[in-house]
Amino acid sequence: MVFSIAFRFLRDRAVAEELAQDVFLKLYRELSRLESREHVKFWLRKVISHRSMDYARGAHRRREVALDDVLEPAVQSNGSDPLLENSLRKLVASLPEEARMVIVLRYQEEMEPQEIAETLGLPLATVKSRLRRSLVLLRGKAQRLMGEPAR
Amino acid sequence: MNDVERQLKHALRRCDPPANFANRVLARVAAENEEPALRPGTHRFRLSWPSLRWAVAAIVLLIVTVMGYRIHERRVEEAQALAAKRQVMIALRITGAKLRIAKQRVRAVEEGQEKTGKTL
Repeated sequence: MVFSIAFRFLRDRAVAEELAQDVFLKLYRELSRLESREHVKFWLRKVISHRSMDYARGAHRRREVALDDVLEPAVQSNGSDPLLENSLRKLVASLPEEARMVIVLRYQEEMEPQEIAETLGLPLATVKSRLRRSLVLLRGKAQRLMGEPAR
Repeated sequence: MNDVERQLKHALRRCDPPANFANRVLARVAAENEEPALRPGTHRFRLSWPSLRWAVAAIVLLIVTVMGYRIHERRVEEAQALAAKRQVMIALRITGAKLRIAKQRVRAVEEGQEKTGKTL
């Protein structure tokens, strides 16, 4: 979950691993403050989301990561189109940091907008609006990319 | 959920961390635990070290400023004393010159009186 959020958000395996390790080390230090399994899960999602967004903002300033050059990990395609998947991931990567994280949490972690709002510390209306706008944007881009209407 | 959302869900599905990820995290945790514990007092000293350096720098700056001001003050006093001495010397010279003139005049008057007394 932790590595996957960072990786899907940053699309950089090495950085995602580094951030995930940092988060687990921080968890080890703060474990006594966390009250339950659900609290740990919420805390992990929150910390990795913020760390990833902070890193992306820094990397954006430094221009260190060229997203299109990053290799995708070898994952089983389960019969779906790998080209389409890769294109969708690239489209998600082109979204602004906050909107991208909202999409990752919504579709990877299957979190509800309310949970996303709590995790990212954003108003619920903002999360819903980011989600709606991002979907419209992604649908439009996907249509142009695939040359066929996406429902 | 429409097609795009379904495709997104599939494209963004969870992926596994690299091999040995857990071992590397555990190694970092172990490394952190193995760091030598600080003796009591050391922590406080280490924390206050930057403050201490600033305090020393501030004291040195203060001493240099005070000494500089004292030297400047002494030079001003010396310059004022020298100027006063020069003024006194000039005043004495003027006074001496005036006294000489007065003395010459008195002598001239006395000589004139003596000559008049002899002729009478």
